[in-house]
Amino acid sequence: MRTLKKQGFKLPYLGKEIFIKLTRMGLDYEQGIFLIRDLNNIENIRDFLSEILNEKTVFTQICLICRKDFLCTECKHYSECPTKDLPLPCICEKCSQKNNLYEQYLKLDK
Amino acid sequence: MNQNDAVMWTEKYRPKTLDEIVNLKDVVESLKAFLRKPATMPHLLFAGRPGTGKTTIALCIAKQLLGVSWRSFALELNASDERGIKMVRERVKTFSRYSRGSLASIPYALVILDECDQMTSSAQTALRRIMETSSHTCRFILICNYSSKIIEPIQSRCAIFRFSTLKQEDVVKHLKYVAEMEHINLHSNAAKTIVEFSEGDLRRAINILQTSAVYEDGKMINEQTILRVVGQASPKQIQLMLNKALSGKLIDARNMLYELMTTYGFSGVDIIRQMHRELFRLQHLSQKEKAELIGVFGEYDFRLSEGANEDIQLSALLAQLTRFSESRGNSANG
Amino acid sequence: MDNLMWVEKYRPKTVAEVIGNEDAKASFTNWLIKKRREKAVLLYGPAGIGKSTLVYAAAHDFKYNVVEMNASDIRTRKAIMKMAAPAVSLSSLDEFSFETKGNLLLLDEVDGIFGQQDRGGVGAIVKIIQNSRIPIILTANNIEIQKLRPLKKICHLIRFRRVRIPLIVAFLRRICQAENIPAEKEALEILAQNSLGDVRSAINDLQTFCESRKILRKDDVQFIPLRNRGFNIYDTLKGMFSANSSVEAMKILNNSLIDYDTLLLSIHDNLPLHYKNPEKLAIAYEALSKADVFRGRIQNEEWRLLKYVFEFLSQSTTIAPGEFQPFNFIFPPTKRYLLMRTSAERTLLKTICTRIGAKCHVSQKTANSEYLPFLKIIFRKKSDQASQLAKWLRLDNSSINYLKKTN
Repeated sequence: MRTLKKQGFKLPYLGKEIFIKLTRMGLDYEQGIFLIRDLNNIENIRDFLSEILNEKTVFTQICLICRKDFLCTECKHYSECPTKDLPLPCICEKCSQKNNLYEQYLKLDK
Repeated sequence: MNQNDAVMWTEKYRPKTLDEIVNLKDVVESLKAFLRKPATMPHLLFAGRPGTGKTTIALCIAKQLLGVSWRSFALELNASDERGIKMVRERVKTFSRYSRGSLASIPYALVILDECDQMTSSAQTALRRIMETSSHTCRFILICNYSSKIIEPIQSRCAIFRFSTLKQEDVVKHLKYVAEMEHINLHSNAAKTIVEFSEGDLRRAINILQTSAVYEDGKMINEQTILRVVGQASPKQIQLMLNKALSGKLIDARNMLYELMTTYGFSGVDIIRQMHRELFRLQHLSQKEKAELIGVFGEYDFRLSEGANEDIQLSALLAQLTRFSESRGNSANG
Repeated sequence: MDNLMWVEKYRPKTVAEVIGNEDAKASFTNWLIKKRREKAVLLYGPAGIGKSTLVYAAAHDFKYNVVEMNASDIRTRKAIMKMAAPAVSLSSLDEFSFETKGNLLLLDEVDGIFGQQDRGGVGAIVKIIQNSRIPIILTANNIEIQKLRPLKKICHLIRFRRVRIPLIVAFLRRICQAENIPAEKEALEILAQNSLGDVRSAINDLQTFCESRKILRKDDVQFIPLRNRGFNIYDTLKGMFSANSSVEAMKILNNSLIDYDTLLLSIHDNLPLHYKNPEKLAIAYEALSKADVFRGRIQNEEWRLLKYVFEFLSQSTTIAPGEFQPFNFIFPPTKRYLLMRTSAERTLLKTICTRIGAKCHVSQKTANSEYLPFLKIIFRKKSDQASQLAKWLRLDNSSINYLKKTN
């Protein structure tokens, strides 16, 4: 399984055509790192990368509250989650335990 | 050619009495028996391909049963024209009320309902009830192409008559008769060609003949004439669509199909018939290929009658044709 | 005790309060308050995740007034122009309090506009966007339908996704706290999972279960009937075309909300887009044709035949398993209406066919296919024959001219 960090990730050399396709799908490229510019088609990017890298490709999550990285596979809701393995904002297991979670959420600077 | 009273020859030469009808001997005999004792006649169901005499015989019955003013006591309806079963019911109701017990010589009124196989089964169920409630004042003559599409409760209330397709010789005979009456020079090859293109539909054969006569305007009608007339009667799009399909371009072919059905208003059956005819005229197919294609056509013609969606069956037919493009490799299609 | 529905009572009023889709939220507010490249934005995603809520919340935060039109109520071009036009012109600013920055036009559920009755609906919206001086916001559940292509070209697209479970749980907990109903964490988790990312239904479910209870326990919601989240048409089509076997496709079918008649036609529309190889397309169409035949045979409630319909439908989409490439689905199914170029022509044709039908004892349909083509040739060729026939058929001059013209 290949893990790509939400904040930016590297990929092996894939050729010009694929590079162009990826940029069209919503990735930017800066100083050797791929960044996510547009989340609209992120499922397609994930599936596409899985296909050409020939292994299941997933993105990490960043917890909104504690700002730490984590993987979807660590989450207890993994099987029910409709957006698993996609780099969308989420809350890690530990922070989910907090009682005043919503208040903390409101205070976040988004 | 008679200029004074131009009418459609399909009407001019339509038999007016049962005795005038040349073929369909067994149908005619049974009906004559009913007509001798009108009270014994049940509802009738006429089933058969287009142009085989169903409407003609229905009208003969009407004339014989109802006499001179038969038009007042016979109601002609087409399932496709009427907006749904409610309208049919209204018209039958009004009609049966108006015609009830008017004349002692009239046993009952007649309702001739054509194209009933195109009614949905729920509409047919309603029709059955209409038939029941008006049975003391009306008899129904139901006309359809496929009796299998008529629901069982209706079938069981009718005497069913099957109208087989006319034999080629009979069609030729009739065409020659009309040609003689109209003082037209009809080459026998032309007659044969008309027969080929009409596929047992006498009405169509006569229309082709009449149109050809106008086209030649006194000159002899030969095979070329027929081909030209039929070609003109068939939109170019049919051939184009066929060619698109045969060259593997299904989406284009399908779009043309939709256009044919919307702009020209052709039904699925019409289109398949016209495609069939166009097939004849395609020069670049081998006999073997044509034979294979005819098999495919036959299958889909049948499925058209069974299936629910004409679009799907015709598109599927076009899709089968695209296979021919593959097997033919890169040879040029028209 | 207030009788408010909780979805209303706890509806977020500010952008910060809206849970989920943080990136989409940011993108939207950026679009709204900064210099916009596009005049309109299209927010798309499943139902109940907060698209309209966000719009109102943003309007509140940034002091706009929302003029809303539900596109599925107002479908025709005329209606849209009538309602939206005043809102998008400058003059309407006078009608509103000077505390607002102006109006926002919200067209909800634009994917509800489709079908022949709505001809011009999407075109009208495009026009409005082009001529508008105020921000326009469109929402939709599914933008993969062809009808919306013109809109996709001119709008800033922002995708909304189902809200993730921990966030929904947090929100539900907050409601429970406000309502003074202690709730077990597992109970809230089950409700959140069950909602499949639809916050609105999660709240509704919560309210339903809390209705008669003082405490919400896990066991209370344990056997909640799974919201019938059958597949919508997009998911059904995608599922069936990308399935790896006809068995898998059948599973999708069984879970689909779409009626099989619509499915038959939809698959028919989309088959050539999926199969590029003519051979495979032909095989697929064979299967579809059989499905249709069985559908046609279901006359007298013989629903047992339905399994054959499903069987062949599943086959038709899985002739080439593993070769699925996403494409833009055509939906809703192409409907053919008897369209002529103009309705005047249509009426004329109908008149002619009625006359033929009356004289020749045929239906209009038959007149159209069996007599009309020949009459056209006769009328084009020979005028005295034609005028005699015209008399017999009782055709007026415009009918005669129609028959005479070469098309």
